[in-house]
Amino acid sequence: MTFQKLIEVLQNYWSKHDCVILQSYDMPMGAATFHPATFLRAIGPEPWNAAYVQSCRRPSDGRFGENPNRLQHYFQFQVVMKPSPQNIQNMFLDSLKLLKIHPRKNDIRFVEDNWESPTLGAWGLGWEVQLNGMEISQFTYFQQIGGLDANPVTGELTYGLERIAMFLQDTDDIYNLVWSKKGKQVVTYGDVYHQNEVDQSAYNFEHANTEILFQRFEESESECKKLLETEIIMPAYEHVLYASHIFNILDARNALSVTERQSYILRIRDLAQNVASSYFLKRKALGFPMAKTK
Amino acid sequence: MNESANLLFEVGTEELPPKTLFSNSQALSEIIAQNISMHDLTFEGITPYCTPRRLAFVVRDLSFQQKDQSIQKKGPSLDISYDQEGQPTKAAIGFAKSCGTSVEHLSTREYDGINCLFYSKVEKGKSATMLIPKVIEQSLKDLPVTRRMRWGDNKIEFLRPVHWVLLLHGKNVIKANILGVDSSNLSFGHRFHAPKKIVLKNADDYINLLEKKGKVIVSFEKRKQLIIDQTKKLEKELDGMVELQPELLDEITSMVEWPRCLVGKFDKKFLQLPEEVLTYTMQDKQKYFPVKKDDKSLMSFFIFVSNIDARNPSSIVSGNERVIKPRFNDAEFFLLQDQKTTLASRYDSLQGLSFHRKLGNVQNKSKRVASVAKLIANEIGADEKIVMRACELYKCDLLTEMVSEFPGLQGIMGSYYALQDGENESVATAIREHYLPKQAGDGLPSTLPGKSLALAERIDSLVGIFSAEGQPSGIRDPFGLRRASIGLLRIIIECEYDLDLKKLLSFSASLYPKNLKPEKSCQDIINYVLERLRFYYSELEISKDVIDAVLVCQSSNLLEIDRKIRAVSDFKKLKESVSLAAAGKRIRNILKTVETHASIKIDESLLAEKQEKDLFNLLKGLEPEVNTLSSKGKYPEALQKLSTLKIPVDAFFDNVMVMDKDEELRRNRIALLHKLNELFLEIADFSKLQ
Repeated sequence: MTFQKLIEVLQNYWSKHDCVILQSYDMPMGAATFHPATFLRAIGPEPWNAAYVQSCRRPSDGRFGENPNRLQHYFQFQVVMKPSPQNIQNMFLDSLKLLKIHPRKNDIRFVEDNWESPTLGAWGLGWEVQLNGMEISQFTYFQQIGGLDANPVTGELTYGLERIAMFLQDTDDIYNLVWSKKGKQVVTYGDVYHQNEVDQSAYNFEHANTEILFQRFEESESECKKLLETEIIMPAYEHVLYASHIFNILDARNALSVTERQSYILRIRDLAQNVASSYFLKRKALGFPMAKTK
Repeated sequence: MNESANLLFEVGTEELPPKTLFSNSQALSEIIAQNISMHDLTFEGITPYCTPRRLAFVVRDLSFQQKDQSIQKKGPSLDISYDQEGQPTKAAIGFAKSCGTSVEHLSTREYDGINCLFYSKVEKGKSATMLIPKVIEQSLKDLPVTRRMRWGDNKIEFLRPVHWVLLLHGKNVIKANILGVDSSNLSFGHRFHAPKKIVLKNADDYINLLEKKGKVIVSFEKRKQLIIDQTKKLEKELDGMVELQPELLDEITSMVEWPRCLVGKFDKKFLQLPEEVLTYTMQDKQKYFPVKKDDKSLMSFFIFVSNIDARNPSSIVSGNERVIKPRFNDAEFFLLQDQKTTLASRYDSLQGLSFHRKLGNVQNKSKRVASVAKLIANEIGADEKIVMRACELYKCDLLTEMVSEFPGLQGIMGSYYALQDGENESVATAIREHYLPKQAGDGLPSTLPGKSLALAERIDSLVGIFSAEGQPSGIRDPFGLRRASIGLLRIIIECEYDLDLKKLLSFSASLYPKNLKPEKSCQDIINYVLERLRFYYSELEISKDVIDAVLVCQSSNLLEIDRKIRAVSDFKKLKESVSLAAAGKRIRNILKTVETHASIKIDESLLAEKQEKDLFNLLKGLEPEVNTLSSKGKYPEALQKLSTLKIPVDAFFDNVMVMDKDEELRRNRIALLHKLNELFLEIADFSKLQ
């Protein structure tokens, strides 16, 4: 199964299960959870089912394209369902069957792995899903998001697309993954992203101008605060995303001491929590339109 | 009809946290047993069962009904129950009211020849069917769980989302709604092997049916044994040995419903990596059992436990092998990177590593620790040079790639890199050992430098964190002070070091900046550490009253305290202790009622009665003896001496009136008791013994 076919199968599957199929958010972020379709939509009583591919960036994980298992840019397939359906575990397992991952020939396990995002002020309980000892997905019931109690609870499923594709295509090297195939014409993951890994690693580890980044962090922080004063929430949230990504690059550059690191995390969390409560109030003022029975 | 039957309860959930599965399951059964007893239902015993997807228990021979309760009450005698006109008096009416009835419904009965009003009633026992749902509901609420969760759109909280509730008493379903689910006689088998419902006709069928139809082994012990047996077989095939680390074994047992052990292998070239790195990756990260040769060196195999009975497990094996390889590759890469720099050259960079925002960086800490360690090294006779060098290096591995990736290897990597750098072996050992003991059951550092460093490290942390954060409250212990305290007291007590905690703490406090006022925390820390003694001795099955009796004496020398506690604990088993405890209590009670008595001297000429003279003379002779024995730490002997006071003390209290009308006599007797009390307190406050 090609990489693009994998995405197609998952999209079709979750589309049939009443998910709104969205696209990747057009900003850098560390995980699909940062997409407003998860972070903001998990807030408040309005029901919400969505699925989307999100490209994720983790600057510290870059290896200049030399490590067959690590990338600073990769893809998650994200499913969020609020309230979490009673059979959500089985829905997930059925999707694996569609990918021809047979549950009696493989050892599929839900292994306790509770999730916490210090920058988002969010936590949940759940598992990493292991396939023959390899983590292929994260599965979380949000308990708190942006400092607010998750009520009803959002269930979040995050497929690690590269890991699953490597299993399906039986390869040890991410860059050898077949992205698409037409007759004899094959385009690999390496063809599409290897150059990006090399260049981005160089930027993240060596060339990123930390002075400018520190300055941008301050700017995003003050912009976010200012925007919240006038209840302009979506752009305010985007500044949280900027700040968070800048923090990640600074971290990769080793530009933060342990103590500073903690204080930056707390600054981002403050912003995220303020956005979360403003978002909640705004939706409330609108009468939580999606909560109305149709 | 039978009067009892087995009661089966099973709650089906999504995968439960494995590290607490067994203890939660045990706790649930204990609470259930208590709550059933409280409701006067009888049963033979209770057995817990648990798997990753269920908590269950069987209550054996649970009665269907509470026993009928016969209630009988004696009322006032007839002559006061009715007035002259034969009308019931207030007394009779009041009694009837208290029984919930009226006078005409009461009968009479003779008590000691007097006729009295009498009330009797048989209260019908309630049925188990009625009581059990409440018992279970309450017990699930009482279950001491650290973190419960919510799911979906409901208010119910439990360990993980709940899917089914099975509740059978013999053949009957007890109807209940528990954790939001209606009870039934249905269970479900293995997630993949037997996902369909399983109907239970009788509670007794549970274990067999789940195994045969459900491919689920519900008994924790049986699964554990299966894993042990299968591992033994594989050991033979591989001609190797597996150490089944108990905690890991329990955790793995909690992660499978149908265990099947398999063997994976890895490239032999990785065997050149430090053994701890390989073991840590296999055990802690992947939950695999490493395989060793006779000489204890690692083989390039691992045993893992799958939860699937696959006809052909090849893809399970190759999948797991594929996971371990990149991890070992990473470790190899980190090792190469780390070895480009010596451990010692990282010392300066410790400045960039914060210990605590108010307490400076890790280099500041290691300098303070060095001063304290030097003091301790001199006291216990450790090689000062070795200790000083270890203090420079002991935190440097925190800056290595390996430790940032695998934090569990701190100390171990430091020791490894130190040896690579050509440091003295004792230095390397001290670096590794200073983290010991990490948890209950861990060994102590084996070398004197290791012990000096371990003690100094803990003392510095206690003083610093107490000054910056105050005393830890409740069960939260984010800085690990509870663990640090237990480590501290274990090393001092078990190595028998005659160290005064107060002295060490105030020296450590003198090394911190003055504005933190660290010296103010010292007494709090002593109290905090002494509090931990309760936990320490409860493990040794020494009772609480013994500890209380000794701790009253306000010492900060742990070794002295330990010897007293052990001596008193042994002494408590003797007959003499009973009368000393009784005497202690009497003295206490008397001294409590009078004011200042410390300054009063005993006037020998005022001793009137024979028994007080006897006691005084014995005391006079005993005092120096007990003091000498006590100062030499010979507490059992001192107690032996004190126990000779039994007869004269008993005689004193039997014959001498302490609170005599004559003030002089009274004061003199109180002074005598005070003296006696002081002598007791050399060792313990016996009035606390029970």
